[in-house]
Amino acid sequence: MSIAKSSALATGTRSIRSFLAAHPLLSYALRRFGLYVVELWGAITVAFFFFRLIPGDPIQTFIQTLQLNYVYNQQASAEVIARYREEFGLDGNIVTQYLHYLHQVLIRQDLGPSLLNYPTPVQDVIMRALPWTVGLLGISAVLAWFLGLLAGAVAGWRRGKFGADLVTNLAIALSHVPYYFLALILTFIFAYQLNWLPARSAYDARLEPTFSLEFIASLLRYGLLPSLSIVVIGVFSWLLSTRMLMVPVLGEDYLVYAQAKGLRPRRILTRYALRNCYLPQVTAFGISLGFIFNGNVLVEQLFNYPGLGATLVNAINILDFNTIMGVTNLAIFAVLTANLILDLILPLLDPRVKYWR
Amino acid sequence: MGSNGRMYEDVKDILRHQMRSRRDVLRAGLGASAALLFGGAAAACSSEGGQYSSAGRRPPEGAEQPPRGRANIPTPREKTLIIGQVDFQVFNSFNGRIPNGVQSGNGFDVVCKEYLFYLNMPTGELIPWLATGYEYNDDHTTLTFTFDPKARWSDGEPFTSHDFKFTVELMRDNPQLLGGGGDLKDYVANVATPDDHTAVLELSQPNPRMHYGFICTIVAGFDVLPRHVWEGKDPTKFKDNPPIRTGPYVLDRAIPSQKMFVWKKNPDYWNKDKLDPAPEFVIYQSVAESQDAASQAFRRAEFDVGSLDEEHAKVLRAEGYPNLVTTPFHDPCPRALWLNFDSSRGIMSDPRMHWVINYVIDREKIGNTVWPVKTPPAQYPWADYDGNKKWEVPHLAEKYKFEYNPQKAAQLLDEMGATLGPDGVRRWKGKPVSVEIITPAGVDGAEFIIGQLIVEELRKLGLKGSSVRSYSGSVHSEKWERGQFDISSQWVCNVSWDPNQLFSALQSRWATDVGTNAVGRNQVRMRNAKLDELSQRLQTMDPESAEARTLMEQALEEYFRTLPVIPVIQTAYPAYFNTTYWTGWPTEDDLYQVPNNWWGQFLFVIGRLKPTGAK
Repeated sequence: MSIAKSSALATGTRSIRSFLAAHPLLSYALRRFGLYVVELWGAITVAFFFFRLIPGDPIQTFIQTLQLNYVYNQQASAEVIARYREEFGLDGNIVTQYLHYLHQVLIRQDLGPSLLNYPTPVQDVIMRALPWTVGLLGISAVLAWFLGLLAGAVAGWRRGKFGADLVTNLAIALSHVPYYFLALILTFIFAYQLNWLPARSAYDARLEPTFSLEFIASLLRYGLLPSLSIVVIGVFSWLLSTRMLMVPVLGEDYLVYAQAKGLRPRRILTRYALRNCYLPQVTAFGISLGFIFNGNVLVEQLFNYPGLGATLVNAINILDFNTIMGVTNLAIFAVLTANLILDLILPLLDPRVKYWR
Repeated sequence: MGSNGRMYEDVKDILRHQMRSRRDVLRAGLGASAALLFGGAAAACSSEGGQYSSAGRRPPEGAEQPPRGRANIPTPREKTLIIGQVDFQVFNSFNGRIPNGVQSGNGFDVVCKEYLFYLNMPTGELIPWLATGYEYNDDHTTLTFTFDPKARWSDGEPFTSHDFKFTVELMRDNPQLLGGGGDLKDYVANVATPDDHTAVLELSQPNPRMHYGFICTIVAGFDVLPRHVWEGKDPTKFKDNPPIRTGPYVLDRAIPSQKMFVWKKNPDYWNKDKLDPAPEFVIYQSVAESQDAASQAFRRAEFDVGSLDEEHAKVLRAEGYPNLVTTPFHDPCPRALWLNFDSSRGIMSDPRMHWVINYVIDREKIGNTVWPVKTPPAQYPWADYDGNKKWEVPHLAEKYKFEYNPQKAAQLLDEMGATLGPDGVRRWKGKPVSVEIITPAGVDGAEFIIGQLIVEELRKLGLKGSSVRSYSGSVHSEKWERGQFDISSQWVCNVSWDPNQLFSALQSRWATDVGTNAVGRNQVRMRNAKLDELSQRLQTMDPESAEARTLMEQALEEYFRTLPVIPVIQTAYPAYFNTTYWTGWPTEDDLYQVPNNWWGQFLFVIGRLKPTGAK
């Protein structure tokens, strides 16, 4: 390398450093993104090896299942097993399989064929179920978080009052009731006793899925019971944690000062008290997003809802590694990305938060 | 049929033939779940001892009908037959020659596909359908099929011998396809088509049973493909969607978000003279996995078939629900325990230990209380069909009597030197004796509970460390093939042709070391020279010849002496039907056809249905 080139490189490095020093937020964002990539790789790698530790050969097991169900009436030939072992990246040792998987995902940008619906690619299988899961669980989760946050703030703010204590005690009693149990009760009452709401499916089968008002109304009607079971329990859960964060804040001097200034209680609650305690809830919500992508299996099964949960369970049942990894990767990606975004925007939400010096 | 013009077949012969390669279903680790998968589930007798109290009972004239729910379907309810099924995942493919290339239980095998022949198992009648007959030459080296000249595909093209030839050759020459290779590869040298309605299989060696493979016996049969659709396609990728077949229904739509397949009647169906079903639509739909919810849907007549298990059927009967028909049907595979012979398994390798296990099995209790349907005990390792009676040897059954007798078990343990210590624990060669039972059934499955009952008995005998473990399909399969178990509680499906199928599968040459994959045979690692010799001689004989009968008896005695597999109970699965919208279902008293809604023969049940007029 010539002295001139070396000098130019050093100059470039210095200028990048000085640029980053002058832009601490960008510097932080780059470091954070680097960490995000490492986390993503690490989590996917751990998941890969974790699932491959499950003993058993998916192809042999699949053939045996067909035989068991009399669907397939002869010994699987070695050709059948060999062909599909190769097709699903199951030949070779586990490291070879891992490299094959990384190549498939990173270079070919393909999650591989699904055994669940061969030869449909896993991404297509996921995309078929994903909108329903996001639509039901995503909206329910956001709704539960938002309502829980508000109710928790009010319950904390009005602590000691009859209504607030009643709601708090109710939340303590009900927040750990499984979604599924509540869903059963709601179904029994509203679908089978009162006949007000449908007990199964995602929409009226007589309608074609379009953006018509009729179809959207049907979606909401059919989604109400499963959503309600998730929202109700979720609200109680978020309510308790928000109240727990709110109560210590209420003794702070700046709230007394705000009252002394003559600010209205509602303004003090929303602008002073809640703003100082909702950040952990934002972070927690980001983490909880991952569970959405795994689907709420039991609720989906109860309502015969076409979500990712059932897809994942069926994939696990037949050791469809590509689909299992696809859904898991999606959840990993969602959680890590949500946390990356939250980490980046947190300073904007709370001026006290500062990641850079 | 064919040269002798007979219309009836020996059901069991055909069944055994088609089952002969299925022996390895035992390895499959999805036992109980498979039954559940197909809606049959374990299920069904009332406390009155197996009588289905409300079967087929209609409410009195003018009596109030139970409330009905609105089935969520896109077709008029009164014109639609709704069948509850498994959780569907595959909606865009109907290629059964690749893994999960078609959704099982979606109605395709029943209402869209048709077969050359159907075997009505309850009656033994062979029903010629796409074919009008078959005929062998004298030395069984050619098999000639004649096809119905009226037969047409649903797109209007004629069904011809060329379609048959195309399919046979496709399957023969592509062993990598599911169903490929096998007998077609081993026997079919050439397929000749002298005219559009005749095909001749020229066999490379005599085979008087070749035609069995072309009969719809269990679930489905040989699926002849339309050459004009499949020719030039890659059979390992082709989705065959929408499927073109000859059946009375065609695919109207598959709705993934409703987990539903809608089949509509083909107005141009070729065989209306013989079959003109009343339902305009047949819908196969996934039911809720929650049996509570599913049974509510059945009660409200949102399903006509399925969507019920015996636990909830009992509730409906107790409530006097008038529209429930319960129809029992026997499975070909008795529940059974497989016992390891490998010396590495310690005391289990001694055949006397197998008899210890046999003596602690209370078959009456299991048949009456564990299996949801009252089920008879099993004495032989095959199903109790009439056709199998010829293999029974009463004096051997008496000599090696299967009885619940813990005292004898204790005596045998003492004989073996597994003596009871002062701490109540039996020790053998200085070590505490225990047995590990594995099962592919879930912890609520009958096979698991059978294991639990045996473990309880063994603990009473001083085998304190005994346990039963449920392993998911692939994990059980791995342990099973590698011989990593003392006992596996599952089922026995080996005897489909004659008992020597079981004996030859247990030959020493198939016994691998524990830890090595047994690849489908002798997973119990049996090494028995006498049985080897007998089974090898039997393999070359007509199993019903006098000479073979003698050898078979000797082999059966060796089997009884060593008990590599202990049959426990027979297996009964019931089907459930709702008479709110449709009547004419098969019943226990009038089992005119196979009642399983995912079997090809169910087409004839659909053909017998009559609407009740309910709206």
